[in-house]
Amino acid sequence: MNVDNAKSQMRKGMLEYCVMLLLRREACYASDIISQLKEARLIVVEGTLYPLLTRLKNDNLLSYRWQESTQGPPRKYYSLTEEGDAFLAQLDAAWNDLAHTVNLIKS
Amino acid sequence: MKRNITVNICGSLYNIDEDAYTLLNKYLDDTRAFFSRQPEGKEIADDIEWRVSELMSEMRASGSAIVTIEDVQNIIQRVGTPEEMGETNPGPDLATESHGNETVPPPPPATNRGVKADKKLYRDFDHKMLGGVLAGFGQYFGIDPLWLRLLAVVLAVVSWGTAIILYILLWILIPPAATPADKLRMRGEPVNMESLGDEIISTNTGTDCRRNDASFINSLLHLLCVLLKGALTVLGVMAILMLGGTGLWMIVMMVWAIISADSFIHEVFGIDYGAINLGTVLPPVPTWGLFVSGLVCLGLTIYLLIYLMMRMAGKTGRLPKWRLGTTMIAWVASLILSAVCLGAIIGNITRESSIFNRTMTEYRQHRDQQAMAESLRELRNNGWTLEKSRNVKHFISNYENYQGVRGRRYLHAYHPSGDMDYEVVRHIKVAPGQYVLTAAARTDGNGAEIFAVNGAGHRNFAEIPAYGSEGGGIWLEATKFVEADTVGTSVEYKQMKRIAKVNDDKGYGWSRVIVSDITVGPDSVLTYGVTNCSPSSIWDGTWLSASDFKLTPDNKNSSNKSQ
Repeated sequence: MNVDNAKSQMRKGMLEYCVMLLLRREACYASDIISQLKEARLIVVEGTLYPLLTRLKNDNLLSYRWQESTQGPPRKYYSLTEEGDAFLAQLDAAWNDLAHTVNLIKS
Repeated sequence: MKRNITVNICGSLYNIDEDAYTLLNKYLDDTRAFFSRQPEGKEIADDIEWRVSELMSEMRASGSAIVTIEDVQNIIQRVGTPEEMGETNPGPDLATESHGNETVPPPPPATNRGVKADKKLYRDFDHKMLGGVLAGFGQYFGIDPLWLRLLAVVLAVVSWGTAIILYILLWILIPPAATPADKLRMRGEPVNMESLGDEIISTNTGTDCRRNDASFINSLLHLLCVLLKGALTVLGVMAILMLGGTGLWMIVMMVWAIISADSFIHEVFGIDYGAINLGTVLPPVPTWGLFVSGLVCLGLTIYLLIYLMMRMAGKTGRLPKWRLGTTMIAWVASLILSAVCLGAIIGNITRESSIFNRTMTEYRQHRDQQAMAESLRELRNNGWTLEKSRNVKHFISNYENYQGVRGRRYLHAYHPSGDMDYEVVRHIKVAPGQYVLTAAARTDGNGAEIFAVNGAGHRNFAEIPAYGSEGGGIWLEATKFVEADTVGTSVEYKQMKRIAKVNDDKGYGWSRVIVSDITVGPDSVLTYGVTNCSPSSIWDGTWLSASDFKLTPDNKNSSNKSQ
């Protein structure tokens, strides 16, 4: 197993958490999420995001409403649901745990 | 120059190059197909399509009016192939990410991506000489088609051209590599976004690998191909014309048979076609005109019908006006031409129909004459002379020999009402003396005789017993003999049994007729034969047969008057 693959697996595990973090900060379009994730180098191909969003929506963790756009068709405007907030809180705890553990091991 | 298409993606219109459209369409289809395996797949695919639309509108906003294939490739690069998007698949190779250059990425090795497709056999248009069959085989087996072509030429010569038929068969059977995807499959390359995009670009920019070898062998092959193509075209046209012509000819023959309805069933196939000039009946110009215009008309009708059906089913777009117009005009023209030619032919046939009947009558007479001449020749060859014949068509028959031997010829005359004269004689020279004449004969009425006339004009005769076509003296005798002979081993018995069995044990009416007391004078002249024109009795039958005439010296010399 090469290092790229390992990195990729780590990022992949984080992707869901990060998307939800972004949405907690503010509701946004899929294209906004993409540009922020790309900036953070969390995804390579944009298509990756869509299956994830659809899955989270189907799990009632997030919802969207159609927003009219100045150019082109109406766009999906995503936001977290209450369930999603609760879910994210649990993820936060898990992440803190994990970071703590990792730091502990590293030091 | 490129064709340009307007597409509607998620409610926005974009101008897109044709090749770019092909690639984009394939990409969206693939995506849809990939995600269709998931329950929420349609939604994901819709989102991705929406994203593509968004990216295209961004490009338009930045100033590019027309979406090119490079744009589509960039979009695919950004959004990713369906395989890269899949959540369950191992993550994408992030190596490219660290390079940070998203717009002009190095093309990934094609073998890493997508499902490795099996090589498929196609006709290779890009390297074709004739139909691309051998070029396709070359692609399939990875051989330079030049060697296959040389082999094919040798095969064609050695097999006396049979190999050409095989080639044509393969030409028909093997599909052409028509689409970029076909071409990839033909070369055994995987069909995915990158390879497909490359293929489309290479085909459209003309940088394909079409070889323009100017080598001697290749130009020779080219020349051969041009010749072969010409020959095949000529052959094909000839074959179609001949097939059509034969079909038309057969139809004409049947129509003709119906027109000349007078007992045509047995006449039409035995007819002496040479006696009838078809050219006067079927003028060549309308015939061929009808054939060609009929074919065109039929083809156009089918074409228009299919078009109409497709239009109604919404499967095809509207034809350009000028094309539909010319097609319609051609159709109407061929229809009118067909009708005119058909009219000319029918008119001609009606006008000439008297020729049919006359020719048929002439033919029948001619045939009867021939049959008579044939019979006469046979009579003459056997020493017979036809002394009298009126209303008699055939003088010889061979169906009902008294021994049951088929094909043995005997003298025979027939008229449905008996209104005929028939006398067949032999003029011979024999030593002076007493003779007895025997013959086998039959008839269905009184007045038929076996007779003999000597040089002095003295006539001896014996009437043929009128048994008709059953029984008869010979048969009776044989039946009695068979009944009397209980041992039944002799040669004679076998002969008799055979005679008794003739015509399902009924016999054919033959009797032994004996003319005795024939005196041949010093002039040695004798005439004998069979007749129904007896000077002493009146003929009331309809037919008579005779055979087995035998003149034997009468050694007993007794003047025992009997018949």
